[in-house]
Amino acid sequence: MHIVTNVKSALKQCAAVILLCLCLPAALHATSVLQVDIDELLSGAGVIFEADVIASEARWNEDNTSISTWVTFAVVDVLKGALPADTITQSFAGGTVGETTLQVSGMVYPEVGERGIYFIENPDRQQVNPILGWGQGHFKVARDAQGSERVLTENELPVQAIEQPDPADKSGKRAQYDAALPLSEGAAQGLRVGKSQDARDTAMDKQDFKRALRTRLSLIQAEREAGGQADTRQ
Amino acid sequence: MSKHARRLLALLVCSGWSGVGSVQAYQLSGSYWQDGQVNVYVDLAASNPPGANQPNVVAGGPTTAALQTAYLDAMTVWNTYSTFYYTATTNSGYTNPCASPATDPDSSVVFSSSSCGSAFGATTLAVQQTWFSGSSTSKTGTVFNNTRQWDLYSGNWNGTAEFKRVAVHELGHGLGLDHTSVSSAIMWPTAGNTELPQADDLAGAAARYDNDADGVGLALDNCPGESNSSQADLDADGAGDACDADIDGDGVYNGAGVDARFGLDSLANSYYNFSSSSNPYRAMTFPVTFSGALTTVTLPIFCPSGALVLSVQALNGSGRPDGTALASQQFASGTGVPTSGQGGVAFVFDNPASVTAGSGVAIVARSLGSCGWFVSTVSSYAGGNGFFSQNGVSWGTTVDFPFSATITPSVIDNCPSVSNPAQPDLDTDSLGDACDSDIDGDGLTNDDEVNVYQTDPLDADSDNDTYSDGDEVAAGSDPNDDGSLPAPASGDINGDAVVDVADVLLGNQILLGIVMPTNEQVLRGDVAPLVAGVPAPDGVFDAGDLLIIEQKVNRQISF
Repeated sequence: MHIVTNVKSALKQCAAVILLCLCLPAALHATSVLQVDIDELLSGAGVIFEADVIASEARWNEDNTSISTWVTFAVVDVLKGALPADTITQSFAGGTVGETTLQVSGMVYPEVGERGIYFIENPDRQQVNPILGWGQGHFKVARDAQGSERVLTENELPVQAIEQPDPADKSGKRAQYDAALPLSEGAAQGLRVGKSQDARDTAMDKQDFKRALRTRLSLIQAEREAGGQADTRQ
Repeated sequence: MSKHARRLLALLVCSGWSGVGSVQAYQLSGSYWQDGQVNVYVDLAASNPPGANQPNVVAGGPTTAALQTAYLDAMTVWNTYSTFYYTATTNSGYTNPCASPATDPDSSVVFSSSSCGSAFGATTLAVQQTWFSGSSTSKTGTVFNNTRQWDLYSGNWNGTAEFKRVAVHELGHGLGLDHTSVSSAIMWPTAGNTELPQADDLAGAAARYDNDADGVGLALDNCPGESNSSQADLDADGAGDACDADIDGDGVYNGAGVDARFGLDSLANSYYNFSSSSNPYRAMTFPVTFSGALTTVTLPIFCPSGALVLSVQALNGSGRPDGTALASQQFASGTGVPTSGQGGVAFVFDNPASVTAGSGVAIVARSLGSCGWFVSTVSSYAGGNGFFSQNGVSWGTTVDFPFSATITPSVIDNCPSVSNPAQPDLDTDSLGDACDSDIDGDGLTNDDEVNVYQTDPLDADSDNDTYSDGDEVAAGSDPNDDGSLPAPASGDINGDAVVDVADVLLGNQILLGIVMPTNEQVLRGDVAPLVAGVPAPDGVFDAGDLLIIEQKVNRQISF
């Protein structure tokens, strides 16, 4: 009996430790990059579009002191903002020219042939990474075994759902959510992301994802117009 | 507590701490520091002097000096717990982390309102830039976003950017770690309560900088390719005993060792083609340090087709291959030589060349098809030169090619751990006198000869009576008195004062290897040959002795 009691006590302590560890990520913010949630992505991006990457070229700057990679997107659908043309070229810091590489840690360059949904912070300004939140605003679109277009994170994990309560939610769920942010697997908070790249079939359908984004955009804009704060997390 | 012990403890503690997600998932970047260390210029007072450019901190926040100290502490954190080594140059002025290495080769840190000319954007706290060519990193730099406010604090992340843990993370990038999928690690892409490198981070650093898993990183390891946590280095020559071809530094080598080596640890992504139709000969020269047989050359060569002929040639007066092959061997594509780049490949000569210390030789590669020899990102080799040729006679200079040469020395050190350049060996037992506990080979240790028997440890027969000191001691005679001789052998092997069947039985067991005889037993049994009917011991106990003893027991002979 004494031993059982001790075991129970130990289990309680372990449970407390595990609970503590599980809670730790809730306080996570970014090092190189700040953690953002899906609404911050939607409101912070100047332009959001679905596009195919049709070109990528790394080159030295004019005075041969640095390297940038210029990525050209062929836009097929604009979810937010306006673009002057069907193609847009954005500069990403770093890249490889010849045998010389300038690596910017954490940078993932959209690759030629890739289709994705991109949250561009400000298309008219040269940034280290033009994608808002770096990997958090970079989604890939890929076909599953049945040919359906699915939405994946930058590191190709399936985006399974948008779970963040609506910005206009008045029931208090949003406040509760913000107080206990779910662990984000490297993607924007508010997204449920699968843990395996093999589970591509569990990812959201591209059209469903875009529809959900547009709905949230409308809600955010309506909330702003109503004078409310769309982004209430402190 | 030693640094190595702290590293081990850190690994254990961190492994436990991160047990919730203990799967190691570190990611290595495409390059690393070839010597396992980098010096960083850290002078925030110079790069961000008071005024508009000074670090942007919260009200009442840390001074620039405190931030400088925190950055240096972040470097020390990696030095203390990982196998990578940061050094710092402080108070020596500003160097630009954004400039290419050709413009400014020094690694450094700065606060800036932009990241090397590009806006940080709304979510970026800091950027780590790293320059590399091939797999060799040449520069890294941290740029902290000065449009945000910074603070220094320990404990849970409170929403304000905490400088030191961000610095630890960025310096993790600087040494070659990418983001991990272990959320408790410092290299997790988003920061939080983690302030120090965790098990996953340290494993990543070790994978890069401690390939021999001895807890000592490349920068400090005196044997990077051999596990030697003690770092013992008898001759203090910088090469640990575990990998030192001449441990005691006496100029006589222990055994096969690498005589010369260049560039294999820093291969570039490019190579020089040489084919049977176009400059089929490539060569690399090097100086021979110790004489012996050049058994193996390791070369980053591949041949998609044909074959490769490797030869070792002496040098002519202008330091080029003289055309005389000291050794030559052909390696077929796909079997003897890989068809694609595999890094350094060891080519072993069936009939190795004999080379002499102080001479220079060339490794000559001839393509009988199509071959490539990878080059190094390290610019040049001080000991020799690379050459090419169309005919193997007339040679032109080119880049230095990576290689290593392993030589089995013609003289093996008879005391590997005691310096004895002359290699004296009085008893010719292959153990040098400097490390032989029985120099004269008389069966008595040097110490016993001096302290117990007062015999000469350098003379096997101190009294010159033809019986060795050891034999005399075993037989009970005085090794210092030439009038005191061992009693004549009688065949009484077991020493029971009777020569009988028990001695024959024991003799059989000795000859069959069942019993290991004592010196005394050998002396008593060594009766052969009989000279004029009297034993004339020959120093060994063998079948001839046993036959005589049997005859004596059977009363066929007597003595």
